Amino acid sequence: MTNKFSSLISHPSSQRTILHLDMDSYFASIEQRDISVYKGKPLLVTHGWHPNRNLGIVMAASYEARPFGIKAGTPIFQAKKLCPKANYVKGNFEKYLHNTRKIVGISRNYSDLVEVYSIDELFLDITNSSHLFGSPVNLAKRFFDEIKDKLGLSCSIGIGPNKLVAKMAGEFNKPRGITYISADELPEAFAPLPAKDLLGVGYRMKKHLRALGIETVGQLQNLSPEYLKKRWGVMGVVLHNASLGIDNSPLIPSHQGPGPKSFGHSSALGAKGIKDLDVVKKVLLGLTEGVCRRMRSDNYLAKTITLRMGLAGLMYFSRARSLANATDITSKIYKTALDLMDGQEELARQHGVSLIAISAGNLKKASDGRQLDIFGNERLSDIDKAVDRVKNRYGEKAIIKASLLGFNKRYQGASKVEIAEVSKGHSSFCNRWV
Amino acid sequence: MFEPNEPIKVLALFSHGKLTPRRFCWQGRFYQIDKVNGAYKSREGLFPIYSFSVQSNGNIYEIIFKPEKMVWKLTRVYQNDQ
Repeated sequence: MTNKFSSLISHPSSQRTILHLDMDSYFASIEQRDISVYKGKPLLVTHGWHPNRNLGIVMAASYEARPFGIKAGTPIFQAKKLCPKANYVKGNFEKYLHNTRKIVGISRNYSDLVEVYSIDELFLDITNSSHLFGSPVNLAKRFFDEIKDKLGLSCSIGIGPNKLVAKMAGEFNKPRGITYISADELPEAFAPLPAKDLLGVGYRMKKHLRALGIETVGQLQNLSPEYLKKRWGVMGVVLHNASLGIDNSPLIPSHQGPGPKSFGHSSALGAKGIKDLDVVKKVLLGLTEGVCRRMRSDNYLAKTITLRMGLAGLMYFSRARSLANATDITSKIYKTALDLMDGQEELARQHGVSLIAISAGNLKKASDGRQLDIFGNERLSDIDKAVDRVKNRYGEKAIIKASLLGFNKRYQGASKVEIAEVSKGHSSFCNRWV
Repeated sequence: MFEPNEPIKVLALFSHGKLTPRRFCWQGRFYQIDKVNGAYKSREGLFPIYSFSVQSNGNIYEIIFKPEKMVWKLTRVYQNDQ
């Protein structure tokens, strides 16, 4: 497929040199740099932190916290048991985004083809620039040093003939490592690696591979692609190619990235859950406000609303409903979400709600036109727009729903800071904010 | 860590498009800034907020500057003994 930017996209070829940059323990490293009293100590970055609360998960753990078994995703109550002396700090996404923008700025000194893969990962196509520095490794060293000097942060760099190999190479030597795997070293360089370390192998695939007695990438390389295709379909072929270090995905500069597929916010409500449904509904309203505000800000309408709920110690369930017409009106989407909760109230009261999430998908651009309504939705839309204008001028806290007054600030609708967190890891976020 | 969230007086340098706090006065006591560990700009609606993490005598102080109100505030203090 071609588009007007196609000449700028780095297309796969046998002669490409791709660099992958991964910031080491990014959020925790920024906090240890800024709050230097935490340097050399176990530090955990969380969404919100209160010494007497155990809600939520660890977003990032410093390298000092990792020997205790704490990593991103560890529940806070568990982290407290694993390392009682750990220090906690509330994540500050505006600060992290500021640093990411600086890193992207530095990366432009090394290549004009930069893909912002997530808040702490970049791909650079250095095929045409590495000779200016002598070699790809020399370029990587200069890049590493410049980030260290200007931002006081360290990173790990992988270099390879494609994105997959570059990303895998970066994992070889962490933290503060530079690894170069040339096309000539493949596929032998991957052969001794554990199969579970291969990109694309998740929890389930790991179990499948183990059941087949496949422990290393080398074993996977020796299986025929036909067999893998028969067993796992397209995924089998992808897996076989990955084991050989074959990846044809193009590097797409950030301004050409794909648009979002959905907008979603979620909130963990603690392992024991919340049994008071009025509180749960308020949380849901706050999340819905955040989702709708982002949609309006990015000029999208959604047709399908999905509600996901976790009942403490029992189960997770997900329900979706498609609306007659795509919308970005908060009250309409909130009402749909409440309808999706119907029938689960009794279970929720008995067991408590441990997680609630809403997402709006099946998107279309608002500029493509919206269905006019003769039953008053125009007015609702005007109210949302007026609220957006106030927030745009005076900030997210300037105006909130009366029912959320005095309620936990965390649930009073999303700010850009929360947007960043929710979207971490997705290029759509990077295109929007970096 | 504690969060005073109190107004402070700051001696700062505006130079080459950059704002650098050098000294501040909190509760009548002066603090010499030894190092600015980190700084970033954020927004509250249309209005920018400049945040600094500064080091003084081994302790860390987070201070913010709101240009639309021309006020400085001390938001957080991290003491070295923790």
